[in-house]
Amino acid sequence: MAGEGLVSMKPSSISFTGTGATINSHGGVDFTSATVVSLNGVFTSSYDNYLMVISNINTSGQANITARMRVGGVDATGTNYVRQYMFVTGTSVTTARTTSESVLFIGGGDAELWSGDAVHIYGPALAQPTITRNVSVAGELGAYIQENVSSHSLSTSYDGLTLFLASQSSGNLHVFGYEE
Amino acid sequence: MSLYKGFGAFASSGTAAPGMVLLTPTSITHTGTSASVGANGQVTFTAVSNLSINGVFSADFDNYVVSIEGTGSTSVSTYYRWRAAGTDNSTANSYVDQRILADGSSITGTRFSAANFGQSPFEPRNTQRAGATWHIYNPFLAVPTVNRVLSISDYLGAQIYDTAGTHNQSASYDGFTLITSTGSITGTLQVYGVRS
Repeated sequence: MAGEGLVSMKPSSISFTGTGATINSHGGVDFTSATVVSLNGVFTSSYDNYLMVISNINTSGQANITARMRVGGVDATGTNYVRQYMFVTGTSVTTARTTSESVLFIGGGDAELWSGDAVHIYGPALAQPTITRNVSVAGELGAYIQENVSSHSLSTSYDGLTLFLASQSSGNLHVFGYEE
Repeated sequence: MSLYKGFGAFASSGTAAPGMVLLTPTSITHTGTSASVGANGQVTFTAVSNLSINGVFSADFDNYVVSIEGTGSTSVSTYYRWRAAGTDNSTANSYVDQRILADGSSITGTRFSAANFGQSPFEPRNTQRAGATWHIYNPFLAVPTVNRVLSISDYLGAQIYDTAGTHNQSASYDGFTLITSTGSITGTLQVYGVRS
């Protein structure tokens, strides 16, 4: 049966560090006071591109969300990631590129539940470099914009990723495949 | 409760399931020429200065995406208010928006604070056509609602007009209202629920 354009990608398994993380009935993941959440089996040969929505984040402090690509239960830990970011707060626009990173930057959380993040992931299951773009909103100072574009240079096929939350965080995430 | 179609299986089991579901408002109201709801839930509006969408946010979904496109009768800015049971929330100082505008080689950041409405989900300039993808997080939950708009304005051909917005009331909403600064808007919008 065909989906309707955006297909829910239920993980084949998850692991975590923290109080708890579970796969819910819709195929998303609910996590509680976690600093690490690993998703396995969310990227497949069925789809080239994916969308991950992260919401309802409640962190113990405002912090970035980072990630590593993953295959067969093993994270890609090399310094093969590059990041271009843009922060906009008030009249201040800050942008810069950082290289030789060991993680992707895919968003930020907020201690007051005021955050939402859409992460676009291109080609993770293909044996080619993977790229991501996140577009987020957070409530620090009322409202601010954080965007990141990250690339991972290895031509490796990945089936998942691990999220790192700098502060203990609770929330929900869901990975979707774009139907082709 | 809004109406939608849903399926129970997932891609990992070999059967696809919809991750984003087109929703049908329970009702709409408008000020202007006309507004109607199509068979699948798309809203079509003509020369409206106020458009209220009711019953699209529910306990079925935490997060939503609104896709909107159209034109303005003149250079139009739109504002929004969250809505519950047919009443807009216009609490003083409850909406804050951070905007970034890219116009030619100029990039401008602006924060709008202390408002009783939110800024700029849709910015047609009456030259070509404008569009926006509006991500809305947690509107039905009794927590502050946040949103992120990626939009194109047709001013001077093309402008990037992005906004991040927060609303500090821990209230549950079932819809929203679009309000124009001046003039009217004509176009279509769809509201999608995103699976959690």
